[in-house]
Order: sequence, then C-alpha cells, then structure tokens
Amino acid sequence: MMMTDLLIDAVRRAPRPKYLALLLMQIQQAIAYPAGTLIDMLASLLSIATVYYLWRAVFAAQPQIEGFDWRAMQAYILVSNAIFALLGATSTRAMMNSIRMGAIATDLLRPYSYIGAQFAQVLGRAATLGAFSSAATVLIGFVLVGMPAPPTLAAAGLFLLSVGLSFLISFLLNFLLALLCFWTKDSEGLLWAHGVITFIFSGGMAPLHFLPYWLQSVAFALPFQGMIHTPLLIYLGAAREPELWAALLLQALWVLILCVLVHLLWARALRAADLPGG
Amino acid sequence: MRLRHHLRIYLRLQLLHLRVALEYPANFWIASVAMLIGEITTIAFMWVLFSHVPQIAGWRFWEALFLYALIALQTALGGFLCSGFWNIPHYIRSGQLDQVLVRPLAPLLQMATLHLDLRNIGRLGISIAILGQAILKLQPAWGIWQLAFFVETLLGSTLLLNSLFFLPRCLAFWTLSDTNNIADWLWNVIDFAKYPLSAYTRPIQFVLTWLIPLAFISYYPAAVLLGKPLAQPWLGYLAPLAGPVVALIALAVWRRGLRRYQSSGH
Repeated sequence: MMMTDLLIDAVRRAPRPKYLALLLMQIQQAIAYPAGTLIDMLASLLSIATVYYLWRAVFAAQPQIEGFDWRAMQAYILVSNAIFALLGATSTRAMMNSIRMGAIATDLLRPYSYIGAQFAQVLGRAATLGAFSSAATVLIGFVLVGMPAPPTLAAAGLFLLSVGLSFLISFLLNFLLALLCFWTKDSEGLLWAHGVITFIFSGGMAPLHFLPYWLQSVAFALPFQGMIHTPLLIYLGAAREPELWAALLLQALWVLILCVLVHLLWARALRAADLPGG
Repeated sequence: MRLRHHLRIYLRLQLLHLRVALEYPANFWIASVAMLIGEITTIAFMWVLFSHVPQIAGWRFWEALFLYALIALQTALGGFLCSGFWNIPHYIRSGQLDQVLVRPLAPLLQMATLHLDLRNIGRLGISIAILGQAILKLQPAWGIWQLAFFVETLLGSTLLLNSLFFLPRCLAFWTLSDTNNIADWLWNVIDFAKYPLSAYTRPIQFVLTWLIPLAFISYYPAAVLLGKPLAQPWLGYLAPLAGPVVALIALAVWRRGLRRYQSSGH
C-alpha cells in the first residue's frame, strides 16, 4: 500500500508532462508565424552565400590551408552554419527582459524548476525554427554544393553526439549570460558581446586553426570551442582515435563545469535579485 | 530659399531626437558599442581571410578595407539621416499618415525625421577611421578629378542606399502590410557589398549591379579610385549617378503612393 502510494506520487511528481507542455507551446508559437521564419531563413542563407564565395576566392589562390582543402571547407561552412541555426533558437532575450522587468518573480512562483522550463522552451524552439533552418542548410550543402558527408557511419554518430553536447554548452552559456542581467540590468550590450565572442571563439567565423597562434590558445582554453570546432573536427574525420575521445570528453567536461557555474550563480542571483515590483 | 528653410527645419527636428537620446546616456553608449562590435567582427573576418592569401579576387587587404569602409559609412549615415522611414508601413496601414499630410511641411521630410538611430555613432566612427587609415596606407595618387569623384560618390551613395531602403517600404501603399520584412531582408544583402564583387559568380554580380545596385556604393567607386581593372569601366565612372537615378524613381513611387492613399477610415 505504502509502496504504490509512493509510486503514484513519484509519477505525479515526474517532470515529464509539464515540461513537455512547455516544449509543445514553443513549437506551436514557432509554427504560428511561418512568414517570419522563412524570411529569417532566407537572410541566413544570404550571409552563408557571402562567406562561401569569399572562401572560394581564398582557396582559388591557396588550395591548401592548415590541412583544409576546398571540399573540406565547403562542408565546414555549411555544417557550421547548420549547427549555428540549431543553437540560435534561444530564449535568452526573453529571459533577460523578464529579469529586467521583474516578471521573473511570477515564473519563480510556478511549480517547476526554472532552469528545466527554460531548457524545455529552448528545446522546443530548436526542434522547429532551428531544425527547419538547419535541415535546409544541410540539404543545400548536399544537393547544390555537393559537400562531403562524414567519412564513416561511426563518425556520423559521434558527430550527432557532439552536436548534442554543443547544444548543452550553448544553452548553459546563454543561461549564465542571462543571469548576469540580475547585476547589469542591461541586456543588449551583453547579447551583442556574447554573440561576437561566440562567433569568433567557437570556430563559427573560421576554423580555429586558421586564427593566429595567440588567438588559438585563447580559444582552446574556453568552452566555446565545443560549439562548432569539436563537432566539425569529428564530421570531417580530422580527429584520430585517442584525439577524438579526448575532444568529446572535453566537451562533456565543459558541460559539467558550466552546470556547476549555473548552479552557483543561480543561488547568488536570487539573493542579489532586486526586482521592480508591479 | 525653400531648400534652406527645409534644411533648417530638418536640423531642428533631428536635434530634438538627439536631446531625447542623451536623456538615457547609458543605453546610448551600450548600444553604440554593440554596433561597433558588430563592425569589428567583419574586420576580424577579413583579417583572418587575408592572413592566408595576399589578395582575394585581385584585391589586397587595405584595398578591400577601403571598399568595406565605403559601404559601412553609408549604412551608418543612413541611420542618422532618415531612419524615420522605418515607420512608413505602419503609418500607412494605421492611417497615422493623416497627421503628417495635414501639417504644412513636406510629408517626406516629416517621415524622415520621425526617428533618429543614434546608435550608429560607433559604426560611423570606425568606418571613417578605416577609410582614413586605408587612404594613408594605400597612398593613392589622386588628382583633382579623383577627389571630385570621391566626394560625388559619397553624396550619390547616400542617396542610393537610403532610396533603396525607402522603396520597399513604399510598397505598403499597395499591400497595406505594416511589416518591414523586405527592407529587413535587404539589409542582409548589404553583406555582399562589403567585399569585392569580383569574388562572386556572374548572377550575383548581375543582381548587385542591376537589381539591387549596392555595388555602386562600394565596389565600382573603389575600383575606379584604386585603379582596379573593371570588365566595364564605364559602370565605375557612372557610379555617382546611380544614387540620383534611384532617388528619382523612389520619389516618383512615393508620389504615386500618396495619390493612392485613402487612409484607414477612422
């Protein structure tokens, strides 16, 4: 009797339904405005095209750069942008605004873990807006550009695992960033600075090995490398056995470190919270 | 006489926005720095590109930066001069344009001064700095004709860029849609104009020359001023004229739109 009561209670407490509901809500929202989504996607395809032609001109003059040939670079440009599309569907701005305006107070009263709810929402957006844009980019890569696929099926699998870890790193970094709003009260400046730092140090701007040496050493000491550099290393089959596991392990380690940081900062943020009432 | 009168009113209205913006100095500076960071990313990208090859599609690093600074300068100026145009679709759809039409001042002037995007100051600063630095590095042998061409290009480009972004907003007279989708999308096309046109395929070159003529702001004038070979040199020499031509088209569309305008019937 006691056992079944406990079990029923456990099921009732299980987080699945309410987080799933949040996730589905985001999906509904994304689907409600297809025109905006389409325009965003066309815009991102334009910027991919600029970068693509510039690198093509570079590789026409210099067929081999740091172990990359033009075919590998084609895959790098398209796949890195596909990953960015997936990571870009964040709710950081909304979270920052709710901290600045004080609306977060109501969210904190709700019967769910705030971090869990945020994650469910970001996942929902990534599964619609992100996945759509991402799939379109990859499709263009394979059909129009003829970019190479991962060398083996195992590499493809590990690549997907690495993208998963990349997604976690991106989410945690964005969450940390939004928490800074408790102290700075400004969101725009933080978002822009974060965007640029991510773009350069993740490998989104160019493969990290293309950067000058001093900048590389900075990049390899930071978590951003796990967002683009590591998955692409695996996709291109550039990492050999031991190196490959080390790269994945490093990604996982950063997820762990960021989790701890979020935990610590979250507790401090709530103490520092000085929210406008209303 | 009338021109001076209009200029004076324009300046007074814009100064008003300046005073409003300076009421919130922190916001102003943060946003300015943010825009500056955006430009720095582009420069960093070019720097990495050129660290592996001496030239891209026939252009060296500082030549490419000169080209980039020309378009960056115009996008910054656009924010200062007439970012109020952003409101056009909304004013048409909601019928707010009525207010503008009954006032004794040219509607176009009123729309231009509805808003002032001061955040562009960071972008303006860095584009002028890079333009100056590029000229110092390249030491182009400019005579009086080249200097005149340079000044004409800057003026013509201002007309060109602002007219290009003005045109899709005027479509609201016909579509009655209050979004800026097309203009926002066009904003992304500017990315192409930041780099030498010779790096792109023929269709893209064609689009940027004849359909969305952004190449007349950066690529063609830079090629003429830096003595770069052009497939059709006359396109380069005509660059300062592209602005006035598109501006006249834009003005004609605006006039037709105004005649068509029927308000929202409130």
